[in-house]
Amino acid sequence: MEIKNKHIFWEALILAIFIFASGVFLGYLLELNRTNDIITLYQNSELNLLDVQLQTDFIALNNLSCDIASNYIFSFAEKTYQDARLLEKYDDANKLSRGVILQHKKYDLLRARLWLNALDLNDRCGKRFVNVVYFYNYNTKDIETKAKQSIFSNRLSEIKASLSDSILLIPIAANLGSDSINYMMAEYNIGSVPAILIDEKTKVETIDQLKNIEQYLK
Amino acid sequence: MEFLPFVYLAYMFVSFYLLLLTLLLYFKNKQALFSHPKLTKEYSISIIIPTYNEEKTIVDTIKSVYNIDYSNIKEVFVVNDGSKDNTSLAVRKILNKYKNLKLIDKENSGKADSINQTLKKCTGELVVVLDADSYAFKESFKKMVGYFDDEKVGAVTAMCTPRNRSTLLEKLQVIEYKVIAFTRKLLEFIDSIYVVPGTAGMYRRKALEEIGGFDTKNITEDIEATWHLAKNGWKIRMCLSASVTTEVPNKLKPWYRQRRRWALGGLQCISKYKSYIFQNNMFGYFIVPFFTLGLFLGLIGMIIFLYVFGRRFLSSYLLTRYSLESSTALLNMNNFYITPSILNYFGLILLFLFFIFNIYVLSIMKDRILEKQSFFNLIFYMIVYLMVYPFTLIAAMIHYARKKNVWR
Repeated sequence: MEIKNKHIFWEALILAIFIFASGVFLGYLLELNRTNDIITLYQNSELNLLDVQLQTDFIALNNLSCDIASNYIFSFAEKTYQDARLLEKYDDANKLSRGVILQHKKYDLLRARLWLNALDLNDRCGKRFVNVVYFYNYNTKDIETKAKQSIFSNRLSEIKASLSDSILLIPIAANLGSDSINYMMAEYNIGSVPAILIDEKTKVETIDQLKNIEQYLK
Repeated sequence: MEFLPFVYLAYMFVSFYLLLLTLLLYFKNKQALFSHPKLTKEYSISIIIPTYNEEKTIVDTIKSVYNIDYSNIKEVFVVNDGSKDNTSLAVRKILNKYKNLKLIDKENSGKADSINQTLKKCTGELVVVLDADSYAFKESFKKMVGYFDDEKVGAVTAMCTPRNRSTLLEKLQVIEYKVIAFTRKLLEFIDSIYVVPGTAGMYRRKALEEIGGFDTKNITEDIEATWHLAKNGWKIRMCLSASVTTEVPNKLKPWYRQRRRWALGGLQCISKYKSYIFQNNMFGYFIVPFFTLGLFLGLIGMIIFLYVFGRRFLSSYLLTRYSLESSTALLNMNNFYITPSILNYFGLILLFLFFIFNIYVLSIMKDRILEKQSFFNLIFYMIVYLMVYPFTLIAAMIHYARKKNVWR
């Protein structure tokens, strides 16, 4: 081997490590930026929910119009539903950096709170909308569950588009180890996910049931 | 971090390292790429052409041999290895027309044994083994023999390219042969050429005799002989400016069989020389590990691809099934929101780098494929052609496990 080629393996290795590590670092920064976007989204949603919470409390305290309270809850539920879908896509793309499970857990607890608010509103003002709570597994790797969730989600999107004024759709991740959510699921006998709970009475857990979901929403 | 992204990253790093190694070798040695030692002595040469059912090409091969501009060719042996066609008759017809042309008719015993038997009759200082469908260019020998002035050089190989270049498969092989020739030449600069292809190899007779000729049990006797020479400390050289053309398979089945045979021979060599890994000279430190890595890198890549593709396929199947069963739309606008992962970007960058590398190599090799055709062939070569390689390796592994080491 000629002298000029004697150290070529080390040279290539050092160069490869340097360039590759730079690439991985850049990738990590990019993902971190994404993660920050997600956290910001969660924080905004959290603020919005606290806002709604205060508004509904204020409405209840001052006996204000149920319509106004209902509108607040509705608009927020709509926003959280869209955010949830966006966040899921972001989360899925992160490979190098940590996930945002804690933020997600907090977010889900707040959405569970939204559900309770909706129940309270229905109690006080009479049934104003159908409560549709969608339980799913966050960041699942199981292909079958993922495919099922995708179809459940698409079906709910269709329903949301056609019955937007009469249903309140609240997606909640079921696998984040939250005691209160686990308790709620046990209370309503939700054994597997994905599952849809309609007005705290009807469960939709299978594809067959999903096909006829409209009949439960009437 | 999950396990699979770690595998992706490791795979990408190894590929990137090998690409950088190749580029560094090129930039440090590009002046010497097409050069060859000055001819100081015309060493005597014996040529061996082993043949099996080559009645269509053998006469032209002999003509090309006698057309070579070299004055010290002592003898040309055509070894008919029990052909079932008229190879022997075709040679007999021209036997008297050429000086020192000798025909050896023998029972079929395989290529390696045919060469070994003939080697005992050779008197030249150098021995050239030429496939019966390979044509050496006129100046090739004069460019190659200079390397033997270095007494440690045991074998010299030339650039081999396909002669038939009409069909897509043939054109893809042109790209492949050129890229292989380029990288093989670069490997010379680190004493790591791992094969003197059977199409045309020039050997120092003493070196061949020292290793006992070609291994009759190995179906790629050319790879085995090169490894044996390298293990014994002989240097292997490549003359990129000396050319040989050969007939390449123009149909998928023979192409597949050829590649499977190469992979199987490679496995045999790895098995035979595995104990030399990280021992001895560059043979143990680079040739065997590099060859093994090259063989299995494709396999790992294919396993990753099949895993990802399999999951996607299963997922699509389940989605379609559930969609039909629930009368739900398969896709909606949310499904079109794409957030690629960083690993997708890395993969694309790596693919792009290899694409640029191949274009660069073909331009260095002055390949007309770049002038005459669109980049379709090159893209097809990178994305489809190279993807088939691991399948041949799997087939070879199955053959190897079943001990089906058949030559033809």
